[in-house]
Amino acid sequence: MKRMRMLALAVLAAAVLLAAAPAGPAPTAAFKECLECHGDKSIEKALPGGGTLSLYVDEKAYRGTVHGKGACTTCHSDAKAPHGKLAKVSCGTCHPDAEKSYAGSTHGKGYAKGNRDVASCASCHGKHEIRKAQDPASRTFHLNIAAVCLACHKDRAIEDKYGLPGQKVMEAYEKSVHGMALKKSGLMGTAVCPDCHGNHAILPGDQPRSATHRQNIPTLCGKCHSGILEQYEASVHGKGMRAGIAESPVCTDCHGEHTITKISDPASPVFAKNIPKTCSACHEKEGISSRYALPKKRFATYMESFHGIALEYGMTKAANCASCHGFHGILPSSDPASPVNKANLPRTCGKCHPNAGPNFAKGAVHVEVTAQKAMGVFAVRVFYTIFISALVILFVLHVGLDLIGRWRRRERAEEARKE
Amino acid sequence: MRVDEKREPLQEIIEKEIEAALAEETAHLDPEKAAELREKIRRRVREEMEREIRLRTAAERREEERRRREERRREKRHEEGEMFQRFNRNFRFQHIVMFTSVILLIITGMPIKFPNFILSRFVVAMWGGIGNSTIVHRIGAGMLIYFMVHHLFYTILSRDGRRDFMLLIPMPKDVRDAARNIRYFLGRTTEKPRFGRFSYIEKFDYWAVYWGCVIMIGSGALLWGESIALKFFPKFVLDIAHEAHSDEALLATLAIVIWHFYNVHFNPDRFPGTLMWWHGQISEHEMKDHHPLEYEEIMAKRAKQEAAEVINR
Repeated sequence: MKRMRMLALAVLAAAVLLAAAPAGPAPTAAFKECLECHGDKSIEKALPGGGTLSLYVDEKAYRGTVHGKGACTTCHSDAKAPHGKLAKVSCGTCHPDAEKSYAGSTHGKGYAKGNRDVASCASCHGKHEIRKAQDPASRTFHLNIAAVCLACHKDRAIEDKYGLPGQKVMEAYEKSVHGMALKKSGLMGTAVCPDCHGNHAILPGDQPRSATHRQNIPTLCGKCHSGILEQYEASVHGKGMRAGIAESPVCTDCHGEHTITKISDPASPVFAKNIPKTCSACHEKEGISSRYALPKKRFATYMESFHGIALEYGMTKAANCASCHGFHGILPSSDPASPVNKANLPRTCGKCHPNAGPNFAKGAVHVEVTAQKAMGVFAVRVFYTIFISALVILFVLHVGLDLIGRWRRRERAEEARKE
Repeated sequence: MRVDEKREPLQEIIEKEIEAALAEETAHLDPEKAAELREKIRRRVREEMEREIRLRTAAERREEERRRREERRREKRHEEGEMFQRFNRNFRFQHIVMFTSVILLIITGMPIKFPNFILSRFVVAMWGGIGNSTIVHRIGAGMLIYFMVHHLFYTILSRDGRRDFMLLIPMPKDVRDAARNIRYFLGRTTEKPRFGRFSYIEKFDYWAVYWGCVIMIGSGALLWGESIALKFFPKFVLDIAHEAHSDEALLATLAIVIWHFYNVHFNPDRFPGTLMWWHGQISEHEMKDHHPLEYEEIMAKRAKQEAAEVINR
């Protein structure tokens, strides 16, 4: 409501200024001349396809735009009264930097090749109605720009033609934590398309110069989540990533990209119940665990433990990977600062088991039942395997013999009766 | 209620008798006075009778009910013969507490041992989630601990408990009985082993529960109070307790399902089960068949008692 009122006030002030305006820019002779024809609402041109294109220019609306002080001929430099088809307007004459970065972008390259499906200046900024990005009425205003991008990127025909991510990805953004912040709360701080993908210099994520290339993702997310970036940079994953190890996870590997949701959302890959699967996607890979000499069977031993089973049944208070190992600032257990360093285990386990003392560090946490790693448990398991098998065999033999005996006695009794 | 119904004709007979006596006694009085007197006496007698009926205690009624049921049973199945009280009320109560707790423990525990089994998810959902399921497991555990304590006191303090405990101790005879039973099954001998009050099958059942309770309650207590247990024991002790708890649970379940269920439910003699766990009685017929030595002992005791009574008289 408040914003609406502000907006109304701004519009009113602009109208008053314009109405009382000898102070405002005096329409040049050329401008007046143009409007003699283009001020007529009915002026239109027949298109070769059969439809018509309105050639009307709303003077008042145009005056409110960022270019409102200029004249028609600033852009349409070849216009003379009466005129035929005019030359293409070149924004780069006045905006050379924007044009240069646009030319390097995936849109710009396509445009240069003569592809007219790609976004040009006017596709995003508009034509006569261009306003500053800070203006809430602008097409490129922070809260409006997503709709402008989606105008093409949610179009099936365009997606299919250029092999772009499907509608589902775009819809996922709208349901993501960023999309909801935009749609429901109108948060200015939320991430909209150009915040991650860039604007004029937009490039696909597989190009190293792209803002959304893997190597740039932490920095990109860190623009807003800088506290988390700091923790990540210190972590084993962050260090690996900076060292150029492509397998080191970046933000999006765990959180998702367009689909990113709150951690309290059961669909999120970092929701408590989904964490073991998310982590094990890399840590259960033979290649990764042997290349970096990581301990093996972490996932399997976790899923066999009470923590793993309880979590699988939906007890989200049961410890998952992140509860003990940490998440953004994850460190190898050999690091004294790691929560799973032997010295820190009592404190880490103590988060849930309040009497936890040094006894917690005596014995493996991920119990691998082999004679070398957990002799006691292994011995108990072997004993019971033998004991249970032996007893079950005895039970079944006893029961079976009893039944066979009964059957035989009955047969015999029947024979005796017949005789 | 049937007891009261039966009373009605009796009441009528008595009233008729009183009526007759009254008529005789008041014959010589003048009719008006006699009628008044009769009414007075009649009211008084009726009051007394009703009071008497009310005063009969519930125990007396139950006793009569039982006697009548016994009569009916004898009429219907005279081949069963006399009924003997095999298990007393205390013992039956212990058994009910134990099997209730064990059923609760198994259905809340097994899904944790076999999370991938198809029914596990359903069974956990039945309690409304794993949180509730673990609470029910602890309720079952509490009941089992209570049962164990109750049974220990019963074994020490009760005469029947002490006698049964002594009779449950495994003896060399049990080995001989088992061997002979197998030979009987195989048709090598036509003679069944003669069991006393408890056969080797029942002794096995009893000691399996003993062993199971010790392991399950011991390891379960460590896991229940894991936080306190870890003050005294290193973590690997709890890992061992966890493994033992899980394996012993499977053993106990299999012992119950295969051994105990066959012997009391699926056995063709007993299918689909008897009500002995409820009323604790065993028929003379079954007694002679399954516990001949005990039957003979009881009969010998009875004969001795009767002889003593004759002498005393």
